[in-house]
Amino acid sequence: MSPRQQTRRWRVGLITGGILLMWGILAIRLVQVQGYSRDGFASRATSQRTFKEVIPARPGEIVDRNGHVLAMTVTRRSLFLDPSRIENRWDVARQIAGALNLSADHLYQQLSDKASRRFIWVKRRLTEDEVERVRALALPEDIWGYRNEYQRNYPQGNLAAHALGIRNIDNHGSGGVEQSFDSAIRGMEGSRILVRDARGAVIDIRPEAAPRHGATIVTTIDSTLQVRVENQLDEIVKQWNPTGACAIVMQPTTGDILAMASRPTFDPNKPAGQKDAWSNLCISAVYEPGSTIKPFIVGWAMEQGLLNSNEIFDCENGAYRMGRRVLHDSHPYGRLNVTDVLVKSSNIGMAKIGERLTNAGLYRSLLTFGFVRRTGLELPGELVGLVRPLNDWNDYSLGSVPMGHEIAITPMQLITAHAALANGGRMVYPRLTTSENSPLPTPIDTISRDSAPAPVVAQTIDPEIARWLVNEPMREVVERGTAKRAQIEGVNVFGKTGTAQKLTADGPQGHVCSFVGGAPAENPEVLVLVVVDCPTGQGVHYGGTVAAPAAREILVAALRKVALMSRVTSKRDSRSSVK
Amino acid sequence: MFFRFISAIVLVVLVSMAGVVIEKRMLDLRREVSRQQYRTEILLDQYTALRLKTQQLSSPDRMLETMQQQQLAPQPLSRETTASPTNQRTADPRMNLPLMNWERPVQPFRLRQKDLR
Repeated sequence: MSPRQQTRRWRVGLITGGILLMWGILAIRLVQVQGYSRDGFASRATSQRTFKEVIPARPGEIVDRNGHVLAMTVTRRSLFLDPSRIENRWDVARQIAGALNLSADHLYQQLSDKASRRFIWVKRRLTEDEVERVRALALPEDIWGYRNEYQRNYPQGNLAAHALGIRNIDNHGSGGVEQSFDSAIRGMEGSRILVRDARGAVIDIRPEAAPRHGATIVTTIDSTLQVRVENQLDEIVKQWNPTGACAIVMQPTTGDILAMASRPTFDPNKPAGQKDAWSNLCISAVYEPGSTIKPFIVGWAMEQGLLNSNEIFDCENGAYRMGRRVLHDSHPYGRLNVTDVLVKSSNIGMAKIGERLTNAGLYRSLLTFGFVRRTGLELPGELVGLVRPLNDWNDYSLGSVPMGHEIAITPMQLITAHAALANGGRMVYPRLTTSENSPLPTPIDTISRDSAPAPVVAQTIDPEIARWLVNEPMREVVERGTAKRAQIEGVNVFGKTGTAQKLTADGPQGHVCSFVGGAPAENPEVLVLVVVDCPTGQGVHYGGTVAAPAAREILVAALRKVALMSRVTSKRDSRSSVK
Repeated sequence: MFFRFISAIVLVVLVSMAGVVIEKRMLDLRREVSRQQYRTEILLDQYTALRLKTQQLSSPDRMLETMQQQQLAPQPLSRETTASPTNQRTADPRMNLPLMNWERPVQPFRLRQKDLR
């Protein structure tokens, strides 16, 4: 072999070896990419071309018993800018600020500070007018955009604000039904995968999880009646200038709360800056009930066989010594029967009944009528009341507790207990939501009804005793006693007034006056409680003067409403029976 | 031999083309589904906005106020509205059956450009 041939052979070998080596390296790299690093590259590729978009769940509605919407969610547009693509920042800032009533200087500063960013919020949840004004600016399409966001709206304004609560910007319920049924109303967000091409355009949408929209909560509230109650409370505030006031309307047979209002109040659409108005006095305020508790003591004494409805009590002409203490009546009374003890609200007569019951019996009566526990209403923040342990009671308690002192209860506890009397001694616990379907059809078929728990029922006292209390002493309280201003022509109203001094560390300070009553006495269909805290106007502080007239107006409206409701129900029943 | 080869090639091409057509059709349908979902969302938004407006306008507070001002008192019906449709004879035969005289043009749903933003 010539040297030339040798050189040629060597070159061929070198080239062949090089090619083989290159193929070998490529094969190894291929194995590495396709085998060992496969998952890593695959996930990188997926993350580059896909994008997971969260589909927010639309929060459910809160409606009243007739389908009127009390709270609902609407979609609003929020404006964002892409500062990295804006060439003339001042011009854009000036135009947008003019359309949205913003500060042009502030917006320009924001755009300059975040010039390299791809996204900044300009204003969230715009009104329709603002949306149109921004569109009319005809800004370059690649520098701005809208994103849809949900906004909670309360179409009835401050109607039943305390019962509803509010839902904040992060879709969390605070207070009222919004908080109690937060998870049901909020729903569950879904997601979808967006597939993009190399230029970032969406080429495919793959649904991953469908959102579960929030449930609609049907409350027992009647909006029309609620308006009446709110108006009456406004009148009380105007006339008596109290520290606070509240009213509850309840159906004693079912425990349905038809209306519930508290003053001061707030507008859930603009909740900022109304700190003092958050408290729902119906459930989160306790007060000494005064004389409104007397029927329970009498009822329990009769239930225990310690008292007869025909008995006569010597009311000692207005002064009665109990140990170291001398009890007084507002007017001196001589001999009164049990009915008159309640009608004239004699503290001495009640103290004598208390002596028969003893402290243990009095405590037992409070326990039976639910003053030592929460009513279980579906609202957060309900207080349990203040009833001291029996061991802490003393001789004073025998005189104080029967006239509604030494204990503090919530208005809701009081009306629930009175509902038991009105309901033949059968205690039905209050409820604010119902499992009934709303009469309004809704196209959002994913919304479901939230079923409320069935009300708990307990028999407190004998039905005969309860009926006697309602039809005799409590009816006569309205006819000839302290609540004459609650009379309604043609309807037998029953009730009891209460006036209690407010004791503070500095001594007595103002009064809490109340009236609880219902109608018709023969078959109570509706019960109203009005509590007014520290009325200051006109120097009067009696429940019969301050609370009873408002309760009467509410009662008139409630009776009309209940009559209408029963007519609708009977029509519905007859229609369903025809089917 | 040549004929078999060409037939095989043609078969492969036809199967591929059928696959491409089916793929395109699937993509079209998926796009249509997405578009329909988007329309549903827009309609739902419009529904809630109108529902809100309706609820605000028909709120018991507002209605009671109007009733108290006696603006909603029942008005006596005019002769024209109380007259039976069968008694109304006009030149236009369609007017004899007013309840069937529905001529509202039905326009297909079309997304506005501003809704797309």
